[in-house]
Amino acid sequence: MKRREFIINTAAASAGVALMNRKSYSKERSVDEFMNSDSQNILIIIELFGGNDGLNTIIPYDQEELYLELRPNLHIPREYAIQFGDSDLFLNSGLIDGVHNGGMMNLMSTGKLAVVQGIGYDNPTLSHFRSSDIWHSGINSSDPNEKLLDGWLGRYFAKILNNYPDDIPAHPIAISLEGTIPLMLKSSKGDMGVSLQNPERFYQLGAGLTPKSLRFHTPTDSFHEREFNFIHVVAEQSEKYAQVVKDAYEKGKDKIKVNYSTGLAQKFRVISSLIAGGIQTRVFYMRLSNFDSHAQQMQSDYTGAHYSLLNNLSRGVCEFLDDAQQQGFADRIVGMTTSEFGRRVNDNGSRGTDHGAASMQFMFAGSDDYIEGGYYRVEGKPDLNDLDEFENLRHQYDFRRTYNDVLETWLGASPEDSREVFGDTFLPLGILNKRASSVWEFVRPTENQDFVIYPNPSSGNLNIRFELKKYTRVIIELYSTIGQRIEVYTNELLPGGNYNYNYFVYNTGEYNIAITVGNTRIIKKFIVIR
Amino acid sequence: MKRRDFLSLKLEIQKKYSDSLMSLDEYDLPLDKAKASHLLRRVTFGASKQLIDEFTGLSVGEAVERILGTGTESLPDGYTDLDWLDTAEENPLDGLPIQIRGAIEGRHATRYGKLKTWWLEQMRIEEAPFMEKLTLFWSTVWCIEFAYDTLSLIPPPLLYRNNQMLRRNRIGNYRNMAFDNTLNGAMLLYQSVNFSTKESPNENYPRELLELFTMGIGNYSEGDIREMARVLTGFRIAAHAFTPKPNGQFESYFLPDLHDIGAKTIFGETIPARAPSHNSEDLVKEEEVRRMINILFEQRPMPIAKFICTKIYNYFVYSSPGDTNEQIINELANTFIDNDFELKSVFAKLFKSKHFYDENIIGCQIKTPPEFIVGLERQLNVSFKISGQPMASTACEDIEQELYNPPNVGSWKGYRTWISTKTYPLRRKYAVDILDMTNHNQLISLINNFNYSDVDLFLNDILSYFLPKTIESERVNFFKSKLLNGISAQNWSNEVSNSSPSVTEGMRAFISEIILSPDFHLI
Repeated sequence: MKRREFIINTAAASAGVALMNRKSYSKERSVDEFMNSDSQNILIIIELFGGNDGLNTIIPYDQEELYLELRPNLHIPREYAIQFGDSDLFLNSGLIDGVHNGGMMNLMSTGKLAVVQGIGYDNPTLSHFRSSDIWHSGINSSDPNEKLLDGWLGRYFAKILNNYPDDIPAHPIAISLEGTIPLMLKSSKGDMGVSLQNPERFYQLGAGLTPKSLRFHTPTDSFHEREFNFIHVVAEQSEKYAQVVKDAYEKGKDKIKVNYSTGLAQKFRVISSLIAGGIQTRVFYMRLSNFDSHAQQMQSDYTGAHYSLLNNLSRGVCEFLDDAQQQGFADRIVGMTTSEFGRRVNDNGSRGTDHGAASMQFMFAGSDDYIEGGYYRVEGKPDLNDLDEFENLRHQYDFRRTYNDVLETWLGASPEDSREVFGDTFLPLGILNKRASSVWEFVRPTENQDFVIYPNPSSGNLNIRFELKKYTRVIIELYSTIGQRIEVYTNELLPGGNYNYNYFVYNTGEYNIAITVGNTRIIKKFIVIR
Repeated sequence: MKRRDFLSLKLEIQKKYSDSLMSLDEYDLPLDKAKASHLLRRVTFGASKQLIDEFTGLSVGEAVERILGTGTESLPDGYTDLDWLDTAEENPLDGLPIQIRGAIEGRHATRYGKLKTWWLEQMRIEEAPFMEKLTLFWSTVWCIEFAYDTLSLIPPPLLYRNNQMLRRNRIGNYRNMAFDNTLNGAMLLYQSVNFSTKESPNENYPRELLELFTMGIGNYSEGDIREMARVLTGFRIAAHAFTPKPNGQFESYFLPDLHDIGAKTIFGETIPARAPSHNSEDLVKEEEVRRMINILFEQRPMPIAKFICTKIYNYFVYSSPGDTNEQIINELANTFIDNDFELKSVFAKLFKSKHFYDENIIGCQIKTPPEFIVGLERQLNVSFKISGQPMASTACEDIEQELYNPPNVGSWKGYRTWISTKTYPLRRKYAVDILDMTNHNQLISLINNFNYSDVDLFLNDILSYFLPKTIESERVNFFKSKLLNGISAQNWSNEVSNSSPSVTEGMRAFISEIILSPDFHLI
């Protein structure tokens, strides 16, 4: 299947995927079923627009000499950065200085923060807009003329809300705290979410907006009718959600437990009020701009523009998580940053940096039960010695791996759903934990484990042992650490019983074995040394 | 024929001839009222009844010539309203005490506000030839942000000069527009060329020049960007007081010591190294900067032509990125190249074409914020003020298009992003506010612009004044009941002649309902 077809017509793409030699076991959910599912997991996305300088956010002192040499005008000396314990994780002090509750360092210590290093995608573009569209759409198209018209969350929600927009959910499924809806929430069915900045104003203005005319019948070839219908739906939502948002905000705004500071934190204050007031929204989106630091990125005291942006980010996140903790909804929160790219390894002489490629990403959660905090990177990376042809860092993880953590582990997608969303299979990075694993529905423990993989490390032999309780489909796949699938070992329906599969992996390296039973995917690290 | 039958017949006719007109061949009938209105809606900020009458019956050739003009007309003069256009301030980031810095930034912000208001006022009051829609369009291509890079502000006198530069180039040669933008003071600041030196050539501007302003990604290499960055080393702008200004305040100048005099190779064409004795402003401008621009157009004519024609198409015809008509773009691009990148040739070709007047194109474009706000001001012939303060700029900002403040250098995303649950309710609010600016006499005189001897005829005219397409009879009847406001249909025109208050009440109720219609946001 060509990627182009996938983007233009998600419906056709679903059909295409279903033909891939196995039956689709993804299920469609009704709007209510999804919105009311008891977990009520919430995702917060903060886009750091402009391209965040990953190297001055998480500073690579394990390659200090090279770092200082490549950044003569723009390095942060070791004593100005903040080290996590005696690890090789060094944070920009803007993430901590004066931030509520010890800032990101405290999140790290309490196991609620994951730092992912080396995130990116193949053949990176240095264009903000193309790269941002790639991140938003979740499609890495090498053809720059290919239009990316919808987003990864938009496609997923459009699939779940199968009657949208004829059937509009009682609560907005996603809220953008910006004036507009980002591409990531757009779908062929329209915008999967609403935007609002000030809940009180949103309410005052919403009454009486539902148009008296009807929508035109769909689908229609008339451009006028299409745009008319689009505006009609927004008008309907404006009135419908005005009341929902107001009720939630009024109920929640006095439950706030921290004093939110200025900047991004004020958007978090709105989110906290809405959640506390019972809104059932699943995704909140915010944008922090001005990361495009071509010039004057840092002052002589190692603070300055970039430092302030990180401080702004950290204040918002940390104040919000503490508030959520005190109010008791922390265990429903997971968040992530995105940024279209990192910056050039060399500084550019204008006390700034030009567009780069691979960078870093934060993921955080309100409760350490649902996240494996820590520093995620491939040993020795990013390697400042091993740059691509444009002198940019290489990536070790495809960005859709963390997206898939969110989709599969947090937002209830099956591996089949996420495959449809991305048009390809990406393995979750394994940062997030599910609320309750359903693997034990199907599997009886073997040596106290769900699946036993041995020997590990191995000289090539790969044995997988497990016991099935009942008849179910089992898929065993081999992945590289970057997230690309190398091989599908098996995909078959098996009756209950004991199983022992034997394979052989030829090349030395680190791998992931993904085993899918029911709708749950278990990932095991596997090392080959030959 | 009954009105209902007439409407449904009209709808059928529309559907039938929709498919046959997808061509840039010239539309060869005189403009009827609907087509004249369509042209004026798209290329101006809204047409008065008088203007529509004036354009009805013209050939497309005459109409388009009247709208575009020659490109050499005198420009509106900001000096009559803005008394600070030659006033320089110190650089607020130059280590000044915080109070002084705050005061300077405050003055910048106030002047920026006045500039936006001035520009919106030009949009509101302009007459043929129409420059402002084209100028706004170009300012969404060659983006500038007043506040940029977290802490910096572009002095408003430079924004004014940028604005006039775009206006002057609006239908001229695109090469000149590229050259003038490259050395424009606001752009030099915004895109960090002002910092660029031979030791550290800054890639910011050359990348955007290729990616956003001329040809789009996929047509150049990173190497081309680096070489172009070297061409632009050494150019500076006299943006602030107490800094060098060899060519005068707010003019660009050149520091030869910071310019890279080595040879540069762009798209395989070499700009030779220069001798230090030839490292002068005039020579570098002509032999390097202008040469560099010319190389782009020589080496990548088709990508540039298609890229710019796509932008024009999306802005003036249909902004849905998935529905850009490739065949039309190719034809337009060929016109652009055949006419040596003269913009007027492209605009004229497009605005005169059968395609532009196709029924499927009419009423498909979502109004941009200034089109929405200024458009209603023009249609109701009022100036939107609250307590004497002009409000158009605040309103446009609130509905997400503040002039000279795009979200980033990639511009506003346009199309459906203009309408969200944030902006849609605000659009209604501001439209109601603008309607509230009208008094009894103004509404009566608006009605008097039309033939009101028969309420159905009047309704037909006034609906097509506010809405882009003919609407179904149920909706017509609904609007009619609002308009009549309890007056009988027979008696309505008498009541208008008597200037009866219930007529204006009805007119107000009618426009309030128009404002709540999805198609009021479409042109």
